[in-house]
Parts: sequence; structure tokens; C-alpha cells
Amino acid sequence: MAVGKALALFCGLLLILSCVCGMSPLGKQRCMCKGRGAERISTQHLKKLEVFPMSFGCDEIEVIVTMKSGSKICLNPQSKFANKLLSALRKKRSSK
Amino acid sequence: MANSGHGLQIYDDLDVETSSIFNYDYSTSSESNDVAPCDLQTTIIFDRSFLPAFYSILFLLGILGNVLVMVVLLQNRKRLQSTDIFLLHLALADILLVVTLPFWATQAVSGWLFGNVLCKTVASIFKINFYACTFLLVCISCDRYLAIVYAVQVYKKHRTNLVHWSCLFVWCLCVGLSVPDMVHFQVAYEPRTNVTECQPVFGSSNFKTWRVSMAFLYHIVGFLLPLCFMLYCYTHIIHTLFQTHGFKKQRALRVIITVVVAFFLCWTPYNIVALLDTLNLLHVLADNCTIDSNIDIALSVTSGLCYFHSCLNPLLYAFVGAKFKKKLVELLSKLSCICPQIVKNYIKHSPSAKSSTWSESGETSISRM
Repeated sequence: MAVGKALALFCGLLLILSCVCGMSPLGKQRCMCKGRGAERISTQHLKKLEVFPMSFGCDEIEVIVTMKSGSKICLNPQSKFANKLLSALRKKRSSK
Repeated sequence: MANSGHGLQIYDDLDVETSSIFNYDYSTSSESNDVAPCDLQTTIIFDRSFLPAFYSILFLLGILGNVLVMVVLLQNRKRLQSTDIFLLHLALADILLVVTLPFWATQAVSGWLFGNVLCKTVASIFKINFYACTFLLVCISCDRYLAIVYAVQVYKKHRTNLVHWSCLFVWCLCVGLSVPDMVHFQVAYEPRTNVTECQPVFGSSNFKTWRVSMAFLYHIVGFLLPLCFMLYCYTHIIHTLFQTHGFKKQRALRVIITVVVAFFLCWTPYNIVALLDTLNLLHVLADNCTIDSNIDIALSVTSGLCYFHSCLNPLLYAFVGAKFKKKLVELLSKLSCICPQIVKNYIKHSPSAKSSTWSESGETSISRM
């Protein structure tokens, strides 16, 4: 009985610890955006748009726009708006 | 318009372009706080000032104490007992661990400057010794356990061979455990923070799997098992000591409790923060930027505490032994570092060495036999 209890405890511990990640005492691994980001934004006051690729610190593609006021906003890269804006910008760039 | 390398795309001066792209207006803007990106610079700025200062102190303390232990033990090479051999290997592992700290401190200030080969080498040395320190502590507790609870003869030749073999096994195990790091560590650029660092780089598809399995390996093998094993050994040692009479029980007990408490205090905070980091990554905690940066700062501080244990080892294991202290003073007097009169006094007043080991376990085990 005691052995069974100890085994159950051990398995429980393993289960908790199997979720443990982030063995990174040597560096910080973070994405910048929380959640999915905005679906759409006002195009009137856009200043800059940055597309961050996947990297060692973040396994998501992130799109961040800077408004003329200086504030920054995360844009959902999967949104219709972001795709439209990006493809338009890329088209424009390649035509130049 | 600018297009820098590393896949980062930047589109500037959108005011001219966007008006022509969209002839209809997205007036429903959602500029709420929850879509504002996190400022990753907070932790970088903290690390830039904290890590160099903290790691320099750890580097100096660690080198000083552990080199001293190695010198004293190697001076009496021919009469080394089992625990002394473990202590020698422990001091070597501690030295190799703290030698990597200046590299990480430099990385915190100016990114990784030393190239890919050194990145893999330093990361491997770091991880090998990170594990080796803990496993050798386990070996020492096991050695003391056998010596005291089972009163195994420590002075038989075949046991010394066994000690050498266990040290070899520990090093091989540590090299094996660091193979994933050897493969994955490389110099990489992070456009989000604009730094180039020596980091484990996983393919995008198995990013989370690798991070989970690496942490799983560490928490189980590097912390939980050693802690349980040490607790088991030292509990039985204390139990045995209480059944014996007329020996310096208090002193031995104090030494054992200090060793276990020091291990617990140095390693538990990091393990708790790493666990929180995981829960945060799995979105169990409230997902916001403040928690992110708090966890990052806590990781810096608590992992430093782990390395601090390497500086404590000489004090906890070597310098507590009366015989070791005596040998140290003799060595220092040979180098004419201190006044010969003090040495004479110290030797006169120090307890006469009954055993031929430096460490506490030897003394206790001798009294049992």
C-alpha cells in the first residue's frame, strides 16, 4: 500500500515536471506580443511596420506597427487585414 | 524602405504608401493596451549591470577557494582517501563552472563575441560541470553513508579504485547529458532585442518539445533525484550517529545539516522560478509583460545563486575538516604567507589528528570502527 502511494506520488511529480520548460539560465527567450494581437488598425496614422521572423527566442512570426504618435501595436499576422497590408507593401517594394 | 538581414522586414514611411493601398478606411481601430508589445529591454538593461558585477564576485571567490582545495589535496596526493578524491574532482568541476561565468557576463554586456566554436565549447563545459557538481555531491553523501551506516572499510585499495571508477562514471554521464546542448547551442541573432547571443537554437517545429524535454531532464536528473538521494543518505547517517555514544555528535550533525540546507537554499529558488517560467509559457499564469520581465530578472538572480554554491563547496566540504585546516596552515606557512608563530600555536592547539582523512566523514567513520 505504501509502495503504491509512493509510486502514485512519484508519477504525479513526473507529470507536473513533464510540463516544466525553460532551462535557460543563460539568456532570455521571449516573444514580444501577448495573445494574437489586433485584427485591424487605423491606417491613417501608420508610421512603420516590422515583421519579426521566428528565432531562438520566439517561435512565432510577429508583426508590430508603430503609429505616428510613437505607440506600438501588435498585429495578428494571420488576420485578413495584416495579410492584405503586407502583400500590398511587398508588391510595392518589388515593383520599385 | 529598408530590408535588413536575418529575415526581419521593416517598412518605413507608411503614411505615403498606405493611403494609396487602402482606398477604404479601417476606422474601427483597437489600440488597447493588450495589443501593445512587451518592452524586452527592461531585463536586458538589468542583466547588463547585474550579471557582470555578480559573476565577477562569484568568479573570484570560486577560483580562490577551489584552487586552494586542489593545491592542499594535491600536496598530499599519496595519502588521499575516498572523500578526498571526490573533493578533488568537485573542486575541478567548480573551477570549470566558474571559468565560464566571465563569458556569460561579457555576453550580457555586448553580445557573444567569441565565435561559434567557443560558443559550443563554453556551453558544453558549463553544462557538464553544472551536472558534475551536483552528482559529485551525491557521491560524497553516498561515500559518507557507506562509511558511517555500514562502516565499510574506506582504506582498502579496491575501494579507492571504486572511487576512481565512480568519478569517471560521473564525468561520462555529465558529458552524455550535455550532448543536446553541444548540438543545439550556436551563435544567433535576435532581431527583437537586436543582440547576437550564444543560445540553444531549435528548429521551429520542435521548439517547445526541445525546451520541455531539456527542462524535464534537468529538473529530474539535476535536482530532484540528487536532493532525494542526499536526504536519504544524511537522514540515515544522522540516525546512526544518534545511536552511537561518546563522539563529537553535535559537530558532525551541524556539518551535515549545513551541507543539506546550503544545497537546498542555493538550488530550490532557481527550480521554483524555472517552474513558474514554464507555467507562464503554457499560459497558466496571467499572461502579461510585467510577469515576463519579473520572471526573467528572477531567473538571473536565482541562477546566480546556483553558481554561488560552487563557491560554497570548499567551505562546506573541505575547510570544515580539522585535518584539512591544519594542512592548509602548514602550506601557507611554507609559502611564508603568515607568521610562523601563529602556525606553531595553531598546530599545538588543533585537535590531534587521529584519522588520516581531511574530511568530516573520515573522522566519523574512524570513530565507529
